[in-house]
Amino acid sequence: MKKIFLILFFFIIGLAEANAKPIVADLSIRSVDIDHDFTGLDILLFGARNDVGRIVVVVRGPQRNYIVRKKEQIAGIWVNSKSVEFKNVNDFYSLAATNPLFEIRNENLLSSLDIGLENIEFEPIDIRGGVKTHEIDDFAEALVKNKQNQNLYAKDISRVSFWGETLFRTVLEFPKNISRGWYTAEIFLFNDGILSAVQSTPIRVSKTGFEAFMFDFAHKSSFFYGVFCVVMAVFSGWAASAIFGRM
Amino acid sequence: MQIYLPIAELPVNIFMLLGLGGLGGVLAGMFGIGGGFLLTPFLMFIGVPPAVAVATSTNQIIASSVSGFLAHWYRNNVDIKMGIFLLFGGLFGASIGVWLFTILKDLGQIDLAISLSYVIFLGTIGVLMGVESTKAIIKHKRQGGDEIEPEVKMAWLREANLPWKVRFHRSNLTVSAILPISVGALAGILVSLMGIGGGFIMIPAMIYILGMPTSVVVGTSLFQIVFTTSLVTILHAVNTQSVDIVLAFLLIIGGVVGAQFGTMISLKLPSEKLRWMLAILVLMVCIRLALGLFLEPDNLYSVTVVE
Repeated sequence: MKKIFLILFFFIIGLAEANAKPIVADLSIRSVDIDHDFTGLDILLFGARNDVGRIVVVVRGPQRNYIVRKKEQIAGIWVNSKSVEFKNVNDFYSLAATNPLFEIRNENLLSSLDIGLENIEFEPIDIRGGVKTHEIDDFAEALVKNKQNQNLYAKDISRVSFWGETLFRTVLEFPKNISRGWYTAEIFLFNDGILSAVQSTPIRVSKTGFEAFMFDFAHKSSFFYGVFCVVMAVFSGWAASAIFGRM
Repeated sequence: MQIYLPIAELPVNIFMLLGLGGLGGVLAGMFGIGGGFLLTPFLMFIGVPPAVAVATSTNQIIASSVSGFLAHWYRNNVDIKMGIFLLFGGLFGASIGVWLFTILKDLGQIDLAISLSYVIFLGTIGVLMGVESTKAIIKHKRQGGDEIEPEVKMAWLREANLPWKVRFHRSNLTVSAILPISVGALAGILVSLMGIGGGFIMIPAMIYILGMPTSVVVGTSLFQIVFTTSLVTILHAVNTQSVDIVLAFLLIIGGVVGAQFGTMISLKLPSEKLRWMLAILVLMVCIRLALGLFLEPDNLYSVTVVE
């Protein structure tokens, strides 16, 4: 923590020069390493505003396509029958704000910026098994619930707290099951329902150590990984018969 | 002590995995079977995704089959020529199986296909073995006699005028090559879809359909299994990236030690009682899997990332 306050101190000094910008912010850590005993990480976001308004911080991360499937009972057996594929869904989404979101009083703006879980637009690109248009929302909701259960989409909005009128801080929580890739922390300043400033800071999350090595090996050179698995097993089998005798 | 499985992407207790492998090994030693048919469902019960469970069991079976094969090889109980014909079919069947596996995975139906084939397969085997061993126990009590030698069934298949007759010296028989190739192919499909060695299907087929002497049957089927499971492991690794080497290694370690205990136990118990116990175990696993298919799941929706 001492280090963080040191950074904060120099940061405040630096603010004098940054006076022209409506908001300036930085993070205590910009890259996260996941190793075998990673249990999650808290990153401190701190900054200053040189203008009035409410602050909203959104952290979202690597976009991928997701398929949501729904089981139905067919001949007594529960089978995946209907499915919807959503395009460019964030793996991770969390939100911090100074005030409740409704106080910003501009639903359209929040929606176009995808701020707030209820304002995220999920774009269906592949619909199968006769899913009707009004059912797509159920699939999107199931996706959000699934993400929330894994702590990847925050259930609550965390607080951005102020230190005086200018300085603000919030803690960004990264859970242990976070995926690798690039994330962004975006800081929005809203004034009277109008977006008056945005700052975006990238955060890199990468796996390290043995797990990352094996995962990459299995995915990037899958043939050699397969051969390696076979060699490991044949050798173990031979070693077992050598150790325990020719039974 | 937790260990993070890199491919299954989940933390698991090391000792539980060693124990699970050990249990598979005990069964393998006790009943002379691969144990894969119980290991895969057990892995699914602890939360390993079915696709990873199947692919990783296949990897584990290579190790137990290699040591089993060596034991038979030293005793000259392997018909290599027959093994090669079985293997020919096996490689063909395994490739078809992995292709099916990949298609089912893309359709989102692989979990269902695995569970369903297990329920059918375990149900059939469990009932047949249960009935057979119960009869044997009753008969044993009444007469106290010797064990019954298996009758050669389905002889008409061998006598049918199929082309491409081949002489197998070690087994001392001449059959059409089409028969071992078909038997091998069927076993190969099961290897890819269910993560089992296929000995369960192959051994009875070799005795009843091909008419091979019982002494060479196990060694020869293990010979074929080593190669088909090796191919299937590589195919799974390439097509679905679902082989977890850390999981496989822990299961192998447990299995090797467990097999020693299993062999010791099997020497002390009469074989029909062993078969009866196995039948009960098989049926219990079958019922557990069947419940998962028929009971309404807590969450109807499932979410998958598109790679």
